[in-house]
Amino acid sequence: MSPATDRLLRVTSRHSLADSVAHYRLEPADDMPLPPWTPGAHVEIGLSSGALRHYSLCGRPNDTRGFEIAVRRDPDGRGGSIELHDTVGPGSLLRVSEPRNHFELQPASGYLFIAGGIGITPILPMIDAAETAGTPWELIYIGRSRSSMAFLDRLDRWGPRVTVWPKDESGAFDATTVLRAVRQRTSVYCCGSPSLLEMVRDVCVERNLTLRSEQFEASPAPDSSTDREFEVELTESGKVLTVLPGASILDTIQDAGVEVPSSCGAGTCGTCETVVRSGSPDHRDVVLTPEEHAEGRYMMICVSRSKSPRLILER
Amino acid sequence: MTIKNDSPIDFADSAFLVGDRTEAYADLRRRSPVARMYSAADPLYLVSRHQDVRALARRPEARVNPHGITTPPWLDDGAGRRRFEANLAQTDAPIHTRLRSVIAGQFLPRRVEQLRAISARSAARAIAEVPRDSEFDVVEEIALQVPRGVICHLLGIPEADWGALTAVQHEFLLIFSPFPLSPEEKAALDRVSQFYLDYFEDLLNARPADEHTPYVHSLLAAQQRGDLNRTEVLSLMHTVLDAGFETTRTSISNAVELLATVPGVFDELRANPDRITNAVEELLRFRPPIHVRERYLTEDFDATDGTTIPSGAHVFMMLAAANRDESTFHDPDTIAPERPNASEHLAFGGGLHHCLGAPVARIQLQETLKALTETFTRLELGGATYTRHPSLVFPSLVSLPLVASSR
Repeated sequence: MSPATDRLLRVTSRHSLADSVAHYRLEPADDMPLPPWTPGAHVEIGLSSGALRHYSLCGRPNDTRGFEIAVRRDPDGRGGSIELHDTVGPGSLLRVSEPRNHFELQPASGYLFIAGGIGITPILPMIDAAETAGTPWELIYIGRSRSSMAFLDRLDRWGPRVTVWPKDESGAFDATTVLRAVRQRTSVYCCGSPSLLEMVRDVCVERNLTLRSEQFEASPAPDSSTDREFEVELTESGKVLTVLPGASILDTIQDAGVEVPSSCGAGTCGTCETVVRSGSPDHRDVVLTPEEHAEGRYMMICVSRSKSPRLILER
Repeated sequence: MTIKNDSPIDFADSAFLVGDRTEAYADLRRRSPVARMYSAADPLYLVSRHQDVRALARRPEARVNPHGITTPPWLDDGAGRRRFEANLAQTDAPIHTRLRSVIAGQFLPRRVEQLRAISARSAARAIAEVPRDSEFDVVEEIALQVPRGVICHLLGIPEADWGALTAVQHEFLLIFSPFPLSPEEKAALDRVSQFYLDYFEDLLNARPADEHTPYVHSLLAAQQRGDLNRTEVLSLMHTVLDAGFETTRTSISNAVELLATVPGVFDELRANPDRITNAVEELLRFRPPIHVRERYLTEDFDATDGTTIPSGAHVFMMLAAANRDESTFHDPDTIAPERPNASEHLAFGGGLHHCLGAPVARIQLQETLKALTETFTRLELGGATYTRHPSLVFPSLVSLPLVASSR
């Protein structure tokens, strides 16, 4: 976040929109108006745990008196949405960045909006903008079930231009069939899970359609907050070293003067691959196969850790 | 394209682009380790200190495209765009993760060790054919020939196709342009992308799936499983050629240029062949093939000089400048084959986008240097003038005249 432009905003209302989805309105704690924004924009919110989370703005772009966001409580996420749901309510103060837009609505002769779940949020102001510009649009809104889908009431007025696709009623979403009828000059805007995005992307590639997308995705970095310390024993030098939380095996043994070639620092390239004599590695690389992970004979010591109190490594 | 900036480097200065960049990079590192460039397109930062570049490259959340998009807005529909969307080096999670996981395991150092014999044979064959004591072009006669064996082996390309396949390859580098292409360049990129997609489609159809090489077979199996679409299969075939050929050719050319021009290094390696492995790292540090890689930040980055680069910023990681950072490498402008931390260079990038073929490149460079030191007693530049492609990112040698003596 940027101290120069962050604002302290007060939650002035919180209400439930659907199963596990809450809507928040945030207003300035002072009299300074908020900057206007464009459809597709998001803000970064700093939570009291220190977590930073990005949420699309779903209110009106020229409303300089408040921002609106809608957040789904994700029990499998990194914890930000749980913290927001469980600890933030009217009166709470939040540190909020200025709006940023990486999902800008570009002029087109027609739009097809595809929203998956809470991915509906940036699409709502886009619909208003398309309407204002007089550009034809349609929306396909996919969710688990109607009760989990926010804003259905707000979308009701658009009639057949909105296709609501609850998977428990309509079955799995099939982008190929749905996109078959889309005209070549239509721009597709998609916001949702990585798997929805990929499916839509594949069809757009096949059909040469312009696609813009925003992905709702957790960081690929593993959660390191629960890392524990463990020991590594090195067969060549006989050294026994303690790997602390926050340090890698590689750093630890290099700091102890043992030379190990390494290159990517991310478990990608395989340069630091090390033979495991005994112990149970906690694999975090992206290069070994699932079978190799299960076998546990090799490990990438730049990122992987240990499930057992001690690893014996051929180094 | 004019860019107002607080960097001492002028991207449009051809003397800088084709010349020795040692001074310019030193200036950049010392005066503006985080240099802000003002362009019409986006907030751009040049980062040149080793510690910063290394940290940036390793950030798992940093992207190679701006947040929310998979292709540059100026790259409109066409074969170039389709190729871009499936280009390993230019995709982000989750696409990049999916593409990379199909092939990453095949490029582990212990697995590619089997390519050493092929590399040694290619190097020996090329070196046997160059003239003794009279001038020849290293780029054409050696550097272009060495990667042929490995690439044809991995892809099952008939060696007879090599000439036609590599003749237009340079044009494909347009896809890596950090700046918008002109309409003519865009048309050229579409043309060359379509050429390769068509070539590899024909290669796939030329024989049944189980008669393809293990690498190609693994791609087809992934397509069967639904893990890759056809464009991605074709792109991952082309990537082996594209990334495996251009950069290897340039790394070999650069290494030979240094052996021929920096006194003492070639003799040291002839006398101590066991230093070749580390010398390869040192030569890659000193003159890497690729000078710049890009990232888009999704979180703020605090650089070592105290600057905060904001989330959303477009960053040029100045790999070649970072490789000469005196705070990481002692006496950085000297080539020291025994430099203990030479392999901390960033020639292969880092993090999730670390060069996939790095261990193969290392083997080919090692085997080429080995063959050169075993065959020749002296390497000297020839009399012909030679130059580099005037590229900020990839200033590869167009030719390199050499006279090699075995007496």
